[in-house]
Amino acid sequence: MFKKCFSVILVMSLLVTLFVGCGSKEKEEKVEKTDSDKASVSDNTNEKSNLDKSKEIDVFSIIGSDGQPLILPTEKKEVPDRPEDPKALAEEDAGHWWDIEYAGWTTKKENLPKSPADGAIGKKVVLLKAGDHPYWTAYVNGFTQIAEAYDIEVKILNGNWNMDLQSQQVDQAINEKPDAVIFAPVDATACAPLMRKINQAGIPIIASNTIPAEAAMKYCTAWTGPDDWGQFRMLAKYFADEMGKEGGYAIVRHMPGSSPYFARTFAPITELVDYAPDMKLLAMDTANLEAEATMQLVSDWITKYGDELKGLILAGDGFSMTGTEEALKNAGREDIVVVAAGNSKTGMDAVKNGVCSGITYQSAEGDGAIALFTAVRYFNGEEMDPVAYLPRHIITADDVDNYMPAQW
Amino acid sequence: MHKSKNIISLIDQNRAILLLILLTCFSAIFAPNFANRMNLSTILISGCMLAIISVGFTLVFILAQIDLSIGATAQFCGMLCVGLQPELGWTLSLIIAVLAGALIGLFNGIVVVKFKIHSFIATIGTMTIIRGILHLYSDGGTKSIDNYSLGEFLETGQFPIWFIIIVIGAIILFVVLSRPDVKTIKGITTIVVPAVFIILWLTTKLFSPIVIITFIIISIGIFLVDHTRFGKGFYVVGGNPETAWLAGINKDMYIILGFVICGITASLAGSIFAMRLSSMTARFIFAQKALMTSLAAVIIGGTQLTGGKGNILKSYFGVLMFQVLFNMIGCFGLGFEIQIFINGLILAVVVFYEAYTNYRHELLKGQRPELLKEAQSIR
Repeated sequence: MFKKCFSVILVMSLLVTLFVGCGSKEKEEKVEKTDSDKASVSDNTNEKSNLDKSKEIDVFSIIGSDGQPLILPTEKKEVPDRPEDPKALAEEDAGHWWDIEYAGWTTKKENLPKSPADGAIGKKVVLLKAGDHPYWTAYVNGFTQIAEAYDIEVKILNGNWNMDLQSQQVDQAINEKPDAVIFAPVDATACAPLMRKINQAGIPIIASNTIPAEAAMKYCTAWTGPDDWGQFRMLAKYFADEMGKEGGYAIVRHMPGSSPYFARTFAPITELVDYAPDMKLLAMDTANLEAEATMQLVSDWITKYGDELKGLILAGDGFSMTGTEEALKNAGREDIVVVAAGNSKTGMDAVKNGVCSGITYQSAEGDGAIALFTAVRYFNGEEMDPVAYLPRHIITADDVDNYMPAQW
Repeated sequence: MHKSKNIISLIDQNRAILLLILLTCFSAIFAPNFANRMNLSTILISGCMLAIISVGFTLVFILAQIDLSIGATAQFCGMLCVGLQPELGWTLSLIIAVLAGALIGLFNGIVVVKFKIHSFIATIGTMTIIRGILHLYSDGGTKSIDNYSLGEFLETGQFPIWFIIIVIGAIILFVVLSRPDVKTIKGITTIVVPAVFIILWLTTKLFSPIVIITFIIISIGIFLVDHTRFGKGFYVVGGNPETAWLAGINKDMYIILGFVICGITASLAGSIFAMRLSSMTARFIFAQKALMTSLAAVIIGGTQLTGGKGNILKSYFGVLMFQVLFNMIGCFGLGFEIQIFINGLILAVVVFYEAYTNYRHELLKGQRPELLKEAQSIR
């Protein structure tokens, strides 16, 4: 008897709460709709001023935690002609990677929602971030500062580097009915159907950080983030100069599936083939940015290649740098030239104490800020390029103090 | 005291569905944007892969074994399915992927049974091997195709009318053949639940094709294991191997079959996931999360690690519970660390309670509880 009553009560409570939830949501939507209808009538005359107010907000004066401006002028890039069949070229040929390196520049966009051009103040934005990492904490800091400046309501969903979880969060984001989605994909290729879904829901997308594959680019209004390929071509030249344009080198790669996995490997390889043909690639492998795994990997390379190994390129300067420093110290090979993608505290300390010759400058806060600022420009109805890069720079011992304290 | 013990026992036996109802009610009332059709559909769709994995995983647990390679199998077979699609089409690539999963399961079963290696160790080894093969096959990248039509159908499409008629007919046939006793809760549930499901399926868009396919796979699993004589052999083999041997049940065959079914369900789950997203990643966190969440869901569903006890339907409720939890945390905009914390807390409470129940059971082992009860009632 008790079991029967218990079961009936449970089922009834489930049904009641589901209906209550649905009912209240519908009421909220009706109330919101009525309010917004009224607002649109009375605010028609104020619409222009909202846009003007939005345009008047100065975010260029906001300084990041490293003492650098949060929003920096974005840099354009010279895009060469696309080879007829990039995949047919060798991996050491820069043309092989054309579609990835210049993704987004010549993409024909599809079904892009038109900007309402009514200003950014009070908008609702969902950020789908890739995962947890100190870089991303700094990213969110920069993102939030811009959101506060424009009074933008932000919801952040963390994909935790899991494609399955991010695919669920895309549905949740659509359900939130935001004014825009900032999408930092977990996987550059697998994000295409997810971005397509958001696009089909009529929500503008600003892709951020990881460059989505060409198939995904057509659904986003713009992409912002670091120019990994450009940065690492610059870094490769600096690296070659440090090594006297000769000797063997190895590459510790980024996490598989991410755009830096290819950019931070094949940008230096293809650049050095032309710039320093006497330099030889000895090995490349991933350690998933883990310190212990990187230490093991680099130690194995030192053992295997001995004095032939003269240089190391690291896809990250955080845990990878820690592992590399340990390996070099254990082997007594502080002579090896090390360069890395930056710029964490670990990386900048390594530059300061001479372990590392140079790191790329990549403002995590700026990365977050520029993504939301691009959405602001969209809300303001501005014309913009489909791709916006963060500025490129190599931090060396000469100027590392200008970028302290580190953002992450 | 007996009544309170009964209540606790009742709650323990149905903890998965109770937790699911509790979380759902809480979320429906307090979580913004939770209780609407689209979000509920998202929860059902997002739970499909883990639900299919949990069918085979539960079976392996019932056999007192464990298969840690399910996540890697799902990932690899999903990648195989989407990787072969451009040349072979979906049907053939799915068949090959499922065969690959079956082979992995067969390998696991043979290693456990014939080489007498503990399943924990054997399947860790398999997991590592599959991980390596996955990286070789995918070159560390992602396999994807540009055609999203199947994925769209799975998420938002509608089955042809003949298929709907066949499924509804099968449900009605099952209900009629099971001859439910309307005076019991079970009997009422056997009629009401399918009726509600059919009405919701036909009148709302709550159940997309991928969810229906998941329900079909779960139903087949439940039918095979719980409603066939052959299926009950899994419980005997897992619960009391000596009795199984005495009864003439081929223990080795059941264990190998259990691993094969587990491999098949894992490969199906990965393939269906890959079809839905038209891609599969090589990042191993995908496999890790699939394994950990399935493990937690199956344990919360009441399946014992010691074998002989388990329920596929309750494992599914466990999966749904976690999906509701993840979704609720997203609705509240809470950080991922909160999700991990709550995940771990629920699992810890359940595992501690299981450990306590087993400890009590061991204490009373060999004693005759009916005499104890009588003695206590006399006092």
